This record gives sequence, C-alpha cells and structure tokens, in this order.
Amino acid sequence: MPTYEVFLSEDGRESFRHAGALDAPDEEMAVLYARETYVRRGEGSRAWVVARAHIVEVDPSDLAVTAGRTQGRNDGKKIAERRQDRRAAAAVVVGREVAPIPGGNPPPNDAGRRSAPIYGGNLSRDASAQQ
Amino acid sequence: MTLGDDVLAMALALADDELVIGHRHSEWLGLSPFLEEDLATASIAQDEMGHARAIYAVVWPDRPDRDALVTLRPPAEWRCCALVEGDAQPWERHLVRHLVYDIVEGHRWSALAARDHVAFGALAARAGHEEGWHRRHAIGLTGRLAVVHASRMQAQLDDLWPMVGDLLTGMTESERDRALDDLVTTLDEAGLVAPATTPVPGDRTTRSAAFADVYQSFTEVAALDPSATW
Repeated sequence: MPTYEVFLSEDGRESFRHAGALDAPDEEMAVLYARETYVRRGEGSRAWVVARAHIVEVDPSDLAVTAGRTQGRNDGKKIAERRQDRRAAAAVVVGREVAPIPGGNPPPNDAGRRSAPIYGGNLSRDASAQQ
Repeated sequence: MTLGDDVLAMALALADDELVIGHRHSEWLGLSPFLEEDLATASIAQDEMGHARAIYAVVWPDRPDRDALVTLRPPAEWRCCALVEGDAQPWERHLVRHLVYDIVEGHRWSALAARDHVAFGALAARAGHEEGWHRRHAIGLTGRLAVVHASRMQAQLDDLWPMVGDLLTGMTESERDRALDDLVTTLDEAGLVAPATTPVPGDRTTRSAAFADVYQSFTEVAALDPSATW
C-alpha cells in the first residue's frame, strides 16, 4: 500500500502542519483513514493528504549555509529577548507585576537580570510611548 | 416524555444492536491486517457504543447508571439480533457484516426520528453524521477487497443474509422497502450481490446461541464485584 502524509490546519489558521503518515490502498481510503487516525477529536478543521511519492525533497546539500557566513543569520532569540524586555518595562510603568515567563527572561529588577539591555534604546521611554 | 411501546421497542433493539456490534468490532482491535484499519475499527466500535449509550438515556431516563444497563441486565431483557451477536471471524465476515449493518442503520435512525422527532431527531442527526463515515469506510474497504476476493466476501454475505431481516423490525413496509433498496444497490456498488430472498423481520424475543459468548465477555469484569464503583 502507498504511504500518505497528512497535514492539518487548525480552525482559523492558514498554515498546515504535518500530523503524520498512514498507509492506504488509494486516495479515497487515505482520506477516510486520515480522519480516523489524526482528526478524530477535532485536531484540525482542514486536512491535506499527500502521497509520499508526490513529495519532492530538496537535496540537503542544497540547503547548507555557506561556511563562515554570518550576515543574514537570525535565530529569533534577540528579537524575543527585546520583546520580553519591553513588556517587562511597560509593566513597571503601569505598576503591575509580571509573572516570569517559563524558560524566558527573569522578571524586571531580578538580581539575575543582565545590566545592559541588548538593544540600546531607552526602554522606559519606549514603553510609555506604547501606552 | 412518554414514548410509545413500539417506539421503545425499536429504540431498544437499535441500542442493543449497537452495543453488541460495538463489542464484536472491538474483538479486532490490535488484530486487523494493518494499523489504519485497527484505528478505524476502534473508532467505529466506539461510535456504535456511544449511540447505544445515548439511546439508553432516552429509553431509561430514570436509570442513570448506564453501565449497569449493560453489565447487570439479564440476558432475557436484551433485544439485539442474531446478525450482531455472531462472532466476528474471519475478517471478511466482520467486514461484510459491518457493511450490511451500517447501510441499514441509517434507515433505522430515520425510522426512529420519524416516530418521535422530539426524542430522537437530534440524536439521529448526530448519529447520521457518523454513520456516513461508517458507510464510506465499509463500502470503500469491502469494495476494494471484493475485487480480489469476490467469492470469499460473497460467501459471507450469503451466510449472513437470513439474519438481515431483524434489522428491519418495527419499520413500516415503505421504510423496509427503502432500506432494502439502498442495501441491494450499495452491496452492488461494493461488488457484492444481494441474495434473491427478501429478508423477513423477526420479533427479537430470543437470543441466538452466540449471544451467551458476547454477553459473558462484556459482563465478566463487572461480575467480579457487582457492588464496585467504577
């Protein structure tokens, strides 16, 4: 039996995520099995079933970043830190405690907080400007 | 809410059939030829047992312990039929029965809803949605298997056919005709030929020999300690 890959999109979301694979005699049965295997409890409001044989894989060597290249790399960490700092600063301005974000930055005024913000701007001013 | 005796009898017959065929389906869990079919069978079995539970709630609103209705009800009070009571071996027998049963099931819900829309209208609509999937699954799988194993599938249908009549118990003549027309057409779609004899509805007052086996199976744990709270 051919293998099919199943992708689901949650209600209201445009993007599909990979849910898993299944074997079925053909497309029609694959659709039925996709429902019973991956969407029995409403895990998605839309589903794609794609024959694995129809997937074109890009050669991994075509994806390797040029050795030594540093510009244009962004893993999102700095932006996430900046956003959390701003949120914490805004909370101080309005006199509200902020619960620590699990696994994220410590709350403001915590002893472990780094001394200099990674972003050189004036956080308090930025925060008041947001209000 | 007061239901007429004929409606109660039809409802209980459907509920008991659902419960028992659900158990029989579940005998294939972990044993189906491939994983996807295992999951589909489990899902269908749960749907059917869910329907039974929902009907019991309508039939016996004053008996909230639904489990007791299954595990503590004496065999003489059951109204299921021979078609669902029989064991589920071999696999093609289970599949052909699933096909036949689920085609007629939709008609049984419609008949119930037609008798008492207040009590069964919403339930029938919900069950009908699930039954649509069961039908597609049964037609899809038996149809594909009948291409290569026509004689094995047909032999099971021929053997099960005399028991099909009980699925029509309580229906009017036109309801029966509609259900049988659908059954014959759908079997044809799935590559099977309905035998020429017209199934005759029985009165469901007696249980077949196979009932003792399935009854023992779904009551044995509760029987260990009838006073236990689950």
